[in-house]
Amino acid sequence: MLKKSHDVKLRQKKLFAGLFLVSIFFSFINLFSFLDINIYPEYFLALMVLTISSNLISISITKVFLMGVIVDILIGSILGQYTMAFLLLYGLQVFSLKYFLMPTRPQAILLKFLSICLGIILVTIISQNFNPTFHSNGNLLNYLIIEIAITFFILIIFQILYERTYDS
Amino acid sequence: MAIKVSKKELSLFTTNFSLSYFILFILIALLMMFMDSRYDYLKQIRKDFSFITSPLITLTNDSINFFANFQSLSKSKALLEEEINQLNIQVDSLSIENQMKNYLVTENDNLRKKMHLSKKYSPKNTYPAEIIRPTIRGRAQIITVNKGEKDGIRQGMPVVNRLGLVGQIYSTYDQTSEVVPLLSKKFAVNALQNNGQNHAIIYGDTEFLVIPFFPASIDVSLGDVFMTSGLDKVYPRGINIGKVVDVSPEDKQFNKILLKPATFSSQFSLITILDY
Repeated sequence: MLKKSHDVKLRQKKLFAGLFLVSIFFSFINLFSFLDINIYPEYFLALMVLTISSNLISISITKVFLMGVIVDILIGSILGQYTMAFLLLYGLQVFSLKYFLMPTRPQAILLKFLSICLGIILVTIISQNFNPTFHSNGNLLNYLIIEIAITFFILIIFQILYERTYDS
Repeated sequence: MAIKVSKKELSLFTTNFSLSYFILFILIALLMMFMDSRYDYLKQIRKDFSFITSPLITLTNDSINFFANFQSLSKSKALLEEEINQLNIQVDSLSIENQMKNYLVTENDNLRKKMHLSKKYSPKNTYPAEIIRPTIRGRAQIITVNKGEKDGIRQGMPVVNRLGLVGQIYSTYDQTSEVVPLLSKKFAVNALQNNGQNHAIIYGDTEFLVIPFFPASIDVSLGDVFMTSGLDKVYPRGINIGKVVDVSPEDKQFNKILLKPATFSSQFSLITILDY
């Protein structure tokens, strides 16, 4: 793995803090509610997938756990919901590194997409038990597809911002 | 020449990742979920950490208000005067309605006394409050209002506005409170059809209110209004809940009834909390 310079590390820490605040902000305001659509993009999942896969900040299992607890307190339907999702995403990342030591760009994107899918499915399943967000006659599959697509789009935006920390 | 590989290198995870810690943390997360679903710890934790989360919510509100204020600044004087005129007309008609209502209330009380009926309960106190954003937390629909424990708000108080029932106070903090809106899955209320004869329990169901099993033998038409019955001793009697928009047979004995709520939290900002 390429070693990051001190400046890059500092920029990435700032980016992480900024994205964390942005995620809180947009998790509290559902932009899609202005269009009367019940879609809740998972900003924190996108941020965690980026953090874990790109080492945005130095990450350990304890930090993942603590971040999960913080996000649960902020927006979770139940304590442990995001903690569980983040831990499993971390596990998936470590497991995938077993097979892709140096993933190519398409492989890395695919892995991130799969991580988003896993995270959203987990969070949605847990949420449906405690805070159902769609009508009982609604189509869960459509809901999941739209949510995965939007969250993945957010991840791409985060990723572009992450890559810019190297450029500058 | 064969290379000797240590047991550690052959293991599933060869990085500094500890599988035992991973399993331990997963178990802790599961335990947290179990404990929270059983004892609802998250509510108390959020209350304890409200000194951290409140500034975040305030910051979110302020930024939205900032953009909303731009809109109000662009309103012309003529438009404002027109709006004031309309409001004055509305106040006049409401005061006439109020006089008639007061007369009917007195008449009703006298009749109830004569017929030896039980006394109707009315709210002891009312607290006007304003809805502050956000209206969601993660995925949960929550209305946050600007009155809290300091103002005398307690958990369980009904919340209404001029159109009808808004919800119920779910959680209280020092200066704010959270309301479970009508359409939340956590919401249920005992209701009475507007002909005053049929009782039912209405549940929130994200897009509509629903009566899952309503006897098919009882006539219900589209447009029929359901209001609070007062039987649950939580909501005062006669508050508008919603009107019937769909009646579909569930089986031979029961119909499923969908109701459109009288109020949507996105359509208003002022509410009244009742001490009932």
